[in-house]
Amino acid sequence: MRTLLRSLAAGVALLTCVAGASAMSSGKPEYGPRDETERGLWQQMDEYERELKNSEFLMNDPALNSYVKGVLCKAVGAERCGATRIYIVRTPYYNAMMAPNGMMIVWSGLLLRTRNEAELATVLGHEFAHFEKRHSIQMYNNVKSKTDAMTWLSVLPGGFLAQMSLMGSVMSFNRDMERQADLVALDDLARNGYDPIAASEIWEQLRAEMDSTSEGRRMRKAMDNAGDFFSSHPNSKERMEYLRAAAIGKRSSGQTMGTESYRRAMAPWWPQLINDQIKLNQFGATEFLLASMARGAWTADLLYARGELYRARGKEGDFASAIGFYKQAIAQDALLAESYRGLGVSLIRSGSKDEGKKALKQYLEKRPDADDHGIVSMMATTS
Amino acid sequence: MLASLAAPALADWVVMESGAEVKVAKGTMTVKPGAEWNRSSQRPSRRSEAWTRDGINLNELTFFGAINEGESILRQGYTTNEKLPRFKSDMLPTDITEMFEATNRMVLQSPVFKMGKVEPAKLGKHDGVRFSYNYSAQAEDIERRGEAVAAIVEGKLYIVNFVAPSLHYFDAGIGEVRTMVEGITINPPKAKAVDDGKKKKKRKPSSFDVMIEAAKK
Repeated sequence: MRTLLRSLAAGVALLTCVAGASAMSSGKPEYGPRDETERGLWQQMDEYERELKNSEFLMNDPALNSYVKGVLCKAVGAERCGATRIYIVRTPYYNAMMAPNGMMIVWSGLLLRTRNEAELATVLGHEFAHFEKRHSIQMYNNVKSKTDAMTWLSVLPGGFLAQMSLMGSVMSFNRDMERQADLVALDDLARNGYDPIAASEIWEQLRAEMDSTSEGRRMRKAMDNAGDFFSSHPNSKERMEYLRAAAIGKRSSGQTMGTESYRRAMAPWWPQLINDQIKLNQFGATEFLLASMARGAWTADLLYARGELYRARGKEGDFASAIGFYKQAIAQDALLAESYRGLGVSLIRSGSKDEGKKALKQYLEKRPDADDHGIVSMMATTS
Repeated sequence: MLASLAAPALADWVVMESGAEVKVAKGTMTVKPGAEWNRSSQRPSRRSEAWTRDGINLNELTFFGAINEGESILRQGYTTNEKLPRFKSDMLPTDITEMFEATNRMVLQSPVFKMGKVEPAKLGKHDGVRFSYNYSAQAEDIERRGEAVAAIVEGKLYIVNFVAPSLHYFDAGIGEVRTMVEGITINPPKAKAVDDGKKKKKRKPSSFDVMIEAAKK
């Protein structure tokens, strides 16, 4: 209710607003509001942005934020990216959206899915192109002409994050706009040193994930509810084809995928990102995601994650699978303490108590300061 | 954990007197509150009940009693997403805390949930696990803290869970809750009582039910 009231208040302010763009919006004239209606929309977005700044969901680590902003700036050029402010929101679904006032929102699930800088740049550049081409303003005017936009902005249900994503889906762009944003972003990428083939690769991967997800029971519905990216971005075969064709003409030797720099930047965040995904309890989607990240080369981290996924489901045979994954993870990286924990629990659950206790003790030796040290000590000695 | 889900306006409240023994969660546990609490008529699940002192958003104490093999902690209806994790009687203490965490993340639709210390503890005279955590729900601007003690007794899961805003209310309330948890008695239901529960769930509508339905139309 509080949120609804707040939105209504903002709506009233919007109706009476005649002032220029607020301090939070970009001062650059080419990105600023052009008439009174747009100023109203700007103000509404600024209000959301103020709220977002205080959200418990914001990942405001300076290094992470400056890295992501840096990728956008490299992709579109330092001159143009200055008009945007990026907010990374901890939500384990795939989404990125951009408001007309220059606020770009990136969900943490995106960072888990992109595999290199060029893929991340593709998505950020795509959203930036919608912004620069003023697509959301055009869509807003369309919506406004059909219905009372004030009412529309005021009645969006849920918390403000839900409102933001719902807004994203209401403002879904038409096919021409999507194509324009795709090709503008691809041009930018190629010109600024990223390999443009990344564009078709990331959309292809997301499309495959969507397919694997909709195969899962009730999964599609869950993703729709989450206001996920696919509900507003048609991801057709045709799109892959025109992106691939366009990329071929623009590839050159100086371009990079930025795989290693991406991996380094994400390394501190990866355990949290994968943990958030695993705890969604979406077995099929997560299994697909892990496999697509591995691309046949299962690293210790990915094997550990897969062990966690199987152990959490705990169906018949899952503990045996999990034990295999943890053992492979440990074989690759003996310092990965959490693998010993998962291994120990899985062994005990599947009847190998002594071996399980031994693994738990190894976990405790490697993590003497673990939060669960007390209970795991007990499990390692008495269970 | 239900602060953002329950609709207190629709609940009826019964005062739980300080110092008086009272059976909770359908008689599966007996506690003696050291302060005056209010019991909500709305159950977070079939096997639980919720108490508060100052309003469910400010402090919430939930008793989950005798959760059976294959049942979830909360009602499946709280989430339209995936199936909530189910209890298994061979779960280890860390499995219980992981199930609790996953349930909350799914129901609250929030990844901002962090498990803190997990250590051995007693629920009444039974060996169990105590765990603390904090989280934020999407529709709120505040951080909440929680502490729960869980134990498996005769193959069934019992949890007593206290949640309050991290600012002031958690610290103000947890002391009395810990004392109450120490003195709790678990009354495992007899096999027959469980069967009755199942029968009730499956029962066909009586002629009385049909009459009421007709009257509504």
